[in-house]
Amino acid sequence: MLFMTALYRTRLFFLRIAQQLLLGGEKPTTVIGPDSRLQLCKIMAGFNFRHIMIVTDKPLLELGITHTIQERLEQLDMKVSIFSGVKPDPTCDVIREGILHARQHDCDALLAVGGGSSIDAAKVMAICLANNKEPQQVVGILKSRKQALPLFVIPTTAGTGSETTVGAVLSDDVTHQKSLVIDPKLMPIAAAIDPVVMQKLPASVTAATGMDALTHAVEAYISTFSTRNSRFYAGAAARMIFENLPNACGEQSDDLEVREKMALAAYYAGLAITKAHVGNVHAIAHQLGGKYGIPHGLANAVLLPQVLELYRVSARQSLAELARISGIGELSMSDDQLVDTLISHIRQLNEKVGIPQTLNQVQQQDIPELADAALKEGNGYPVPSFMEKRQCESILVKVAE
Amino acid sequence: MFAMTSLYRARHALLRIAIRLIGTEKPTTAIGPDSSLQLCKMMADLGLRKVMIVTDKPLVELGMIDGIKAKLDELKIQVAVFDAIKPDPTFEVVREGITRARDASSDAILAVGGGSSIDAAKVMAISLTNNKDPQKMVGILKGRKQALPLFVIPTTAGTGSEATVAAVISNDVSHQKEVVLDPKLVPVAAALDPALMTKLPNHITAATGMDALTHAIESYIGVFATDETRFYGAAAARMVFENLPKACGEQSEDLEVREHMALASYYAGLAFTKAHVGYVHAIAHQLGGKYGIPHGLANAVMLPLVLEFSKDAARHKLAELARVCSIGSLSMSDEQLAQAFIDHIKSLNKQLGIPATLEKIERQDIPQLATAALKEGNSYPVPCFMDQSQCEAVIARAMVS
Ligand SMILES: [Fe+2]
Ligand SMILES: [Fe+2]
Repeated sequence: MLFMTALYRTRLFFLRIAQQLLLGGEKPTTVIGPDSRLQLCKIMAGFNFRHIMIVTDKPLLELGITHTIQERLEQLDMKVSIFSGVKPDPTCDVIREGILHARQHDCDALLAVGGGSSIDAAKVMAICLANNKEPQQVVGILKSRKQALPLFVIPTTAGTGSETTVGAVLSDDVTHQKSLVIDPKLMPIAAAIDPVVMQKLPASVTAATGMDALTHAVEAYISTFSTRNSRFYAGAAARMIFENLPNACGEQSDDLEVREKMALAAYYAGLAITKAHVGNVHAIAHQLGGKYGIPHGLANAVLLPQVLELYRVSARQSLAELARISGIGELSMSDDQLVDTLISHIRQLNEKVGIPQTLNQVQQQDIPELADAALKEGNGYPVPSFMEKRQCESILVKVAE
Repeated sequence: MFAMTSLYRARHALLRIAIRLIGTEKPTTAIGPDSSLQLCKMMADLGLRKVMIVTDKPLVELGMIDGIKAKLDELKIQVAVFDAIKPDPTFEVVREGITRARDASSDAILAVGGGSSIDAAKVMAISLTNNKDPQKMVGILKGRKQALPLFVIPTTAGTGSEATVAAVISNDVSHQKEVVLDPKLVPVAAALDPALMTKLPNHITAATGMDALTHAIESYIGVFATDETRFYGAAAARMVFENLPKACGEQSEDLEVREHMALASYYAGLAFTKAHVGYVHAIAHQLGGKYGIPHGLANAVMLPLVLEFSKDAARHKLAELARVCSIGSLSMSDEQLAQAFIDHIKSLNKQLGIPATLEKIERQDIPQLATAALKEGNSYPVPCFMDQSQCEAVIARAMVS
């Protein structure tokens, strides 16, 4: 184990250098606040685009969320066509369809309106279109030469932070295995953080996506790649989520201030993971998503307190610091007590927003295989301490109960 | 000349790699009327409690920071005001600001003003956390630690300093301009708030707007330009051509017009932070240092003169810009388009009341000015190099005959 740990750390060291050299620290230009999506349309008009393809999903289209956006774009003399074929965990097939659609209409910019799936799909479309490549060909790190087609984003959930990350996840058509595209060219030109499009989000989706954002904040905060800068954003994101997620899932679900704070928190958490990455919670959650189709945020929410139990020693200081920043616990508490309080606070938050403690889709007999895959992914992340297989299995056993 | 040229190009190649290594950042932005108040809210969200506002007396006397101060009060953020910034700030002023921030134990800095306030605030922020004299920060990557969180509200549309990794400070004695270059200088967030720009006097709107245009054009025709920087450079140029005459005329209080100018300046900043500037800036900096000619004005006068010199080497790029900005007609050759573009800049200057020559330039100073301008300019990724006599001739054309 010691030898493996050293090997993983070395690999991470090089990853960190590569990241500094290649990925930079970009952000989208942002417009923030109620109706900022219409401001985003104005920003798009500033670039003189002819024809925009909106990338979204059927439910949003039917809810009419894209309607005002389309109208505004047309008012500003841009043609619009809508591709609404995105489904959760988008596959290469869907992306290919979108690419075809964009080519047929000779679109010169993309606007993603939706959750992480629509945004990720649009990112991959944008890069494939400009580079004339198939989705599978851009899987991996820095696989394309040319700048992506200009991409604009209006997230409709507060969770993935995908509007500000240089990664996109796509699923294999057959195996549904997830693969990752990483490239600074995936960064959108601009994003609107508009609480209006989130007002009607169902409580279950608000809860799961909000817990995804919290997981980003926590995993980035305790990551060995974390810097003053990433902790600055991760700390703020965590505090804002603790303060606002219960309200967003409760009676204040259509309060624009609350929704805006959640949206900003997800954005800040996205900034943090772009630099400091995620960790074992995501590594396990990705396997549960691939195998059983469990929504990403839900899997994260259930796993987060379980995985943090493993870090009581290795991440004691940073978890205690995070508790203090988030206003959890008392000033007089020791680090150990603060870690306790933070973990139980997360459990309580889960309960309050209606997240279960277990996921009954998980089958006992799948656990060894899931753990292997999770370790393979997780050991590539800058985690405070590496998981052993039996630790990972015992977490999965608890989750399956 | 040939040997020198290859020497310069070789140095550029190294610089280009260095830029890659340094990386870039972008601020989070809030855009539109009253976005400055949104920025205050973001500061509160990010957990900041004591902010020092860096600004100048005239702005304070005009009541421009009253709304911002009131909002910060409302958010329970303590405010200290440092309003001693003057045009072309010196290290001495920066030092004063640092002392002030230490006394107030500020945990963030908010610059409200033009390029001078923003640049001074940048260097304060990085000197404060690194505990170094500001003069020691001159050069590339001299700060080890993240800067104190810096927020920016530009009140002119020109320098684009809210988007760049650089700050220019004047030597206390020689008044020579010195440059601090570090991605840590990029603000955490910036508000592009047109409501703060509607009262800007015409001659300042004109000069600062021409500074933005110069950034857009010099970055566009330089050899470091990429698809990305040209994307922003072209948009900025088009927006300046469309909106600057309006902003200096009867529509000077039109929020849309002012917002377009603010965005154009920001985009031009995004372009030149990666693709740099050229001889126009190199010469303008000398005219500023020697005669105190405002930066934007010097750029505006020099821009068409330098472009006449670069016309052949940059013909295709200038023609491309002309097409993007709808200058000239479709039937024109590249050569004609390049000329039409330069003529358009001359007539824009005339329309804005910018003179074709600068009275302060003295013939006997020209050789020395040219030598200094070449020293600076040859390190920029210019489309073609000037020799001493060429540079003298260009400057002489800006002299009243
Ligand atoms: Fe996630
Ligand atoms: Fe400039």
